[in-house]
Amino acid sequence: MSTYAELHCISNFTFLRGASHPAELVGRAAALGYSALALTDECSVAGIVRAHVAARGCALRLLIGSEFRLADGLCLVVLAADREGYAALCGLITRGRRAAEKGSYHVVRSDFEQLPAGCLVLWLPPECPDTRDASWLRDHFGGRIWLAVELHADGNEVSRRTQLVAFAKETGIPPVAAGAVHMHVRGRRALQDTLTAIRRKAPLGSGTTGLYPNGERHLRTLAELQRIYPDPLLAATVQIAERMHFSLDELRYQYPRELVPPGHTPASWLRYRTLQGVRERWPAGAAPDILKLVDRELELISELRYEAYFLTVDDIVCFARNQGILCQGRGSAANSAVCFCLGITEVDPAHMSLLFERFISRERNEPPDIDVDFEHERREEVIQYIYTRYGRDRAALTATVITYCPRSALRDVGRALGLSEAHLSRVTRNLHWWDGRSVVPERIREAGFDPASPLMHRLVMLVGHLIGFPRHLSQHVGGFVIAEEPLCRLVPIENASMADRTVIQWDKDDLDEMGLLKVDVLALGMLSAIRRTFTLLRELKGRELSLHTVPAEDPAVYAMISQADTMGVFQIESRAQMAMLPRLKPLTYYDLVIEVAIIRPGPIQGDMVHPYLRRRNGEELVTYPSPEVRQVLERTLGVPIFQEQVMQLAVVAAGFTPGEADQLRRAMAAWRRRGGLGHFEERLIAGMQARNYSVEFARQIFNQICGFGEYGFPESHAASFALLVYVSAWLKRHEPAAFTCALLNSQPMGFYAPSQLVQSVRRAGVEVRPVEVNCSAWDCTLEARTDGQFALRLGFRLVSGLTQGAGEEVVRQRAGQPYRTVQDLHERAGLPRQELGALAAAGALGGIAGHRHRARWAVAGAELPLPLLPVLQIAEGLPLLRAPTEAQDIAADYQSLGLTLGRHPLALLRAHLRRAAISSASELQEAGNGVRVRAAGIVTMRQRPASAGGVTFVTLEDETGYINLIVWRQLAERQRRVLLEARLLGVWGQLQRQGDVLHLVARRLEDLSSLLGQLQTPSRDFS
Amino acid sequence: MPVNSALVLAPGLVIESRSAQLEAASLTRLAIWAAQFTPTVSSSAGNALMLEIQGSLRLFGGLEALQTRVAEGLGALGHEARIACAPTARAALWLARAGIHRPVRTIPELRQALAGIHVRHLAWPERTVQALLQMGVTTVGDCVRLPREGFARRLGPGRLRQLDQAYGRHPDPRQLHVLPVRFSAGLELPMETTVVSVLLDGFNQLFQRLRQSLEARQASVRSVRCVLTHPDGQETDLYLGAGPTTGPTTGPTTGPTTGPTTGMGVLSGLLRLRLEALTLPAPVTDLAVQADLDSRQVLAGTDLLGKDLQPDGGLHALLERLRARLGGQAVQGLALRAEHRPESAWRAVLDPLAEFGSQGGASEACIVVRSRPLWLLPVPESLGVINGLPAWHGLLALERGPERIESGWWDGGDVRRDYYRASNPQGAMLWVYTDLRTHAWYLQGIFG
Repeated sequence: MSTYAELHCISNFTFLRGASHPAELVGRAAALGYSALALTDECSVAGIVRAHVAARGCALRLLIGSEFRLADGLCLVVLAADREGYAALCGLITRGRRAAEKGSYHVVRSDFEQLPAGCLVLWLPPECPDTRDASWLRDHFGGRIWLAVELHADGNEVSRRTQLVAFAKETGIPPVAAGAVHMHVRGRRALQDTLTAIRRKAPLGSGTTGLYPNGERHLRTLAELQRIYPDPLLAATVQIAERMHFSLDELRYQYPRELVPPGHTPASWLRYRTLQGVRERWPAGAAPDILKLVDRELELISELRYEAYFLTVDDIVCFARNQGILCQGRGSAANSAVCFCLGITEVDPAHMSLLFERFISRERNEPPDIDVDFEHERREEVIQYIYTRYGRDRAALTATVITYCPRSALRDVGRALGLSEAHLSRVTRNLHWWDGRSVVPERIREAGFDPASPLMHRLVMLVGHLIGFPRHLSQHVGGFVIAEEPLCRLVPIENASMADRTVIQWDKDDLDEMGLLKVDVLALGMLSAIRRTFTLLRELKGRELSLHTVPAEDPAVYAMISQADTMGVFQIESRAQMAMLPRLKPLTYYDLVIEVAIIRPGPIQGDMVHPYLRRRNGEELVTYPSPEVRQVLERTLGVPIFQEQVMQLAVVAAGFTPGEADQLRRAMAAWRRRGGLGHFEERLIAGMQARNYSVEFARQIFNQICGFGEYGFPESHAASFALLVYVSAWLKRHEPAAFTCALLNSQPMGFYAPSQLVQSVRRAGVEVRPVEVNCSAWDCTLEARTDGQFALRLGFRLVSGLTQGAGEEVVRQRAGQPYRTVQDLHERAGLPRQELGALAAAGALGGIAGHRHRARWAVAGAELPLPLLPVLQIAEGLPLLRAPTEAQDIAADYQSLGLTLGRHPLALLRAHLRRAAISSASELQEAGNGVRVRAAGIVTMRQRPASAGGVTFVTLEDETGYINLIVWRQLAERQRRVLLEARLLGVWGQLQRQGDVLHLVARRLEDLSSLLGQLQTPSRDFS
Repeated sequence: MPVNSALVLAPGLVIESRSAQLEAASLTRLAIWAAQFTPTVSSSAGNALMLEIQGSLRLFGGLEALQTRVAEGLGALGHEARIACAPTARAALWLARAGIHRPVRTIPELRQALAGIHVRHLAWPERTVQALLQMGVTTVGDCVRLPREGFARRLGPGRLRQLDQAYGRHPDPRQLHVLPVRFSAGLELPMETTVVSVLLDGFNQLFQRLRQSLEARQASVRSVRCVLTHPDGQETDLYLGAGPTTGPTTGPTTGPTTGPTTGMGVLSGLLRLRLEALTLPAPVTDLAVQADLDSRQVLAGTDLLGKDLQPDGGLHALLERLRARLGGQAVQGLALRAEHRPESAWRAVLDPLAEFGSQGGASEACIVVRSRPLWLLPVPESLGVINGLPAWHGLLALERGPERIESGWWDGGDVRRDYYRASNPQGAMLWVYTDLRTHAWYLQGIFG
């Protein structure tokens, strides 16, 4: 016997059983000289693509199968020998998974009886195999059924082997050796035990059942196997493997066909639709170069047979447009002229000097990529449309593999090791939102444990292994796979946790590998806000606007953007963006494209921001080492900012083929996790030298590529985003009341809470009116003023504790007849007392009941009339109730609405703060660079971007404005608790002024929260 | 604040759970203690005692002296008290909760004192307190300024009644503490003796009286103290049942002996065992039996026709007898554990009967032990090696194996061993293993 094929092996995609990654198993099996390895995860092929990728270039053949425990206890492994067998296996898994709750499956014998000849079956016999089972199996799988002999040094190997061989002879089911492999090496034994304990929810040492007695369930060496199994049993493995011919490479994906009406081919229909679009976009006739571009694109699409993909997206977008759902495409193919004509994107290709070939390459055999963003509150309609259009067997959501992160790994391993819940909380709570992706011993010490103790040593070691292990399959945010044939012939489909949702067992990387069509149907809050603004403007002013009719290139909009007055504007409202705007001073649409892409971890870490700014401000000469490079980098002043530019550079300067450049892009995305840029480095630098570029330039480009890493932002996405940036900025500049109203009605979204948005719009001079039971609607609304302007009326949606149904009922019953008293409101709207209380708490009953205390008294006394009895008018004396103080009202406003229209809380504290020599935000604006000051404000945001090298950015708010605080890592670690917990933060610090941008660098922090009393001030924390 | 948040703020925090049962028991004990000051003692809300002291003032030398005595007495018992004094029980309770110590003697004083009490101190439900605060009503004074009907309609007539009770406008009847009944009976022996049968006869007479007492009161006992007095006044105590408890009984206990037993035969039988095991230090002159009667427990000793309903005289009684004879700790059971390391695959249990039905993993554990000897050495014995083979009273022949066990890393006791069934020239069947790390051989157990 020279070799062996393992036919029964599970990976960590058999959640909480398998203790090795698919790639680890493949790598180890290849190293041991196995001829083949079957990955047979339990009722799953979720790990198979990863194994497939790992097996490329190995001498090892990867076989595909799956393990099943039937409802009656019978255990089988089904192996796919050919394409039909694979399809049947996927169908079987789909049936089993769909018949049970998410995460489990249910299969019975009848599910197996129809399996075609392409399915080979291993029987995993119980202790005492039953001849009746044997005859059932032989009847249905004669000639393709084997009895798995799995020996694991349990002390009875010899007798077990003898027993099974005898049983095999008796029943005519031939025996074969198998390993029931759970891990690639014996060293994963502790992890495997831990997984069992997690699965059984019983700490190790407490008598956990189901632990294996030893670590034999790993990939054993050939020599060991030879010692354990007689040669015929081993030879049988190889013979079975030789009967299996199926490889994932055989999967051929077919686009859905029904999109093409009879009489058309996909190509002719796409051309027809596109030319239709050309007439709509350019009613007066398109310029010849546009038509030429369209022609060239259509030709390329035809050549690569991607028509159906474009038609699929076209179909979805058409549906959305007909329903009045705002949407926009982005991604590599989205900014083509064809997509513009089809209405998939509104970015006019005439504004963009993009080369379409860059997005779809002749060499890369890979589908184009179009993501479509929809209004976040109406995306579900689109999803349901796709299900109806193609049927549930042909459309499904992509999976997202949820993996263990440090916190979940610590929690589960800690439980398995018997740590008490209190202890666990101490460790995991200390892993605050800013602790990256590994477990630092420091944190463990901080939690009061000794990292050197054996228990903690075991904990950290196991957690280290477990991080990155898949935990379960979740649904991707919006990646749809649509196919011509039933999807379950390609990949199994299972239930998602959401009702009526199904996901396939592969994630988007797997799909990329397999070349399956995916359309990302994504949700974007800003589209909801923009559509709402458009609707308000149409209803109130009769002005019709759409994404492409908003007046372009308005200087007033760019002036506002350059002053960083962008709260509420898409993308450029973040603190980092706001700090950049006054320096970049965007003047054109394309500047916005750059602005969107440059404030990303990639360009920041690749150190592209400052060179670009210097060149833009004329402080540095713009030079190019060659005309080719100039062509690639000219639009970004010689600094590579977009992902596409890096790939193009590799092509023009280093002689990569587009296909190789794409491999480079993938390697870039993964190198932080896996490394592996090494051979690209050599090729890149050698290629550039060969084309007469200096080593320095080559090395600089390579470093920028490394800095980009997975965070490089494609120009194709930035272009679509920039359009939304411009449109939202235009709306903010010219229609602040309507825009803010729409933003409030689209919450939660964006960086800022309603409180900040309302303050911002009030500073812009818009009147904001309070929630009022006789005036407000569920949504915020605009009310006409006598001067022709509009005031923003806050809606019931801001009132915490009030349900939408109740709020809408108040409006419905009010129609034409305002409520006179709380009793009247109670009777007519029929609100439960709790919801009346919510209105009282919001101060919304002021008009009918007086101040909050009176309103509460009235609400407590409101009674519904009894049926059949006339309403009893209860005569009551007027209660002696004190009016709330201003501070009480402000606190109540915050508690109920999250904002106040009264004075800012710090205005009340100002006298006190002044005595402590604390300056206000506006006073800081007047102070000079380098001045040491004391300041204080309510923490509205904490942010610790991964790209900022441990710096925490904090935004403080007082009654005069905002203070941007920078907290260096050292101080953050020293005053961690104050930084994380203070709601009112006091700071000793030094001002840092760069042009119009002002920062306060903290030297010492102080928690002043006690001054706020009961005030609730939520902070939005990002990492 | 959730425990987790507290732990983040104060990592060194020691967390203990609160026992309402123990608190209630303490309060009952204190009520009994307080009966020395006045016969009218009542308790409220789990942490307050109310003493009606008007009638005791003279006896204890005035209010201040009495208050001092109560405070000091409680202090000596290890309790800290907030004491308040008012003309109405409700007012005194509220004042105490609000921490107002100055005694209030007259009605005008009472009005003033009550007006300032925050509504948080009234022990009203959180929802009610919140409702009041949301109306800007923060004190009792604010409450009584509101229209009475309006107040009652919104906050309930009960709350209004409490206000009236505090102001003395409404009666405030309270349930008084009743002291527990203790059975105690003694018997003087006709002569000093150490003879068990004589002693037992005496006790049986006392048990009959106990039985009558129990029947008359529909009560039960959970433990009985039997006292034997010696000529020098020394006493020997024997506890039957749940053993000595400190203070009044607080709830049903669970052991097998403590089931309700009006059948005095059981007591008598147990006592006989104990007496037989006992070496008396001196002859006995007097006998006594004491027990706290527990009237909460309904008895099920006999059915309607007087048949004994004790479920088993069998295993429970056997265990009880063994324990009585050998001592409680000397009798243990064995139970299996789902563990692969032989030394950890079993454990001693105090109550094997309770384990028997409940052990979930037992069946799986049974499979593990099927090929193992019942007799395991307390510590594996190191074996000599001859020509690479282990020896124990002669060279061993390995007959079956290996059974590989690799487990136990989680408690620092990781083992990696290959087990074999082996026999030596004398025919002894042994269970031996070789440590896969050191390759040394050990004897783990012997097959019977």
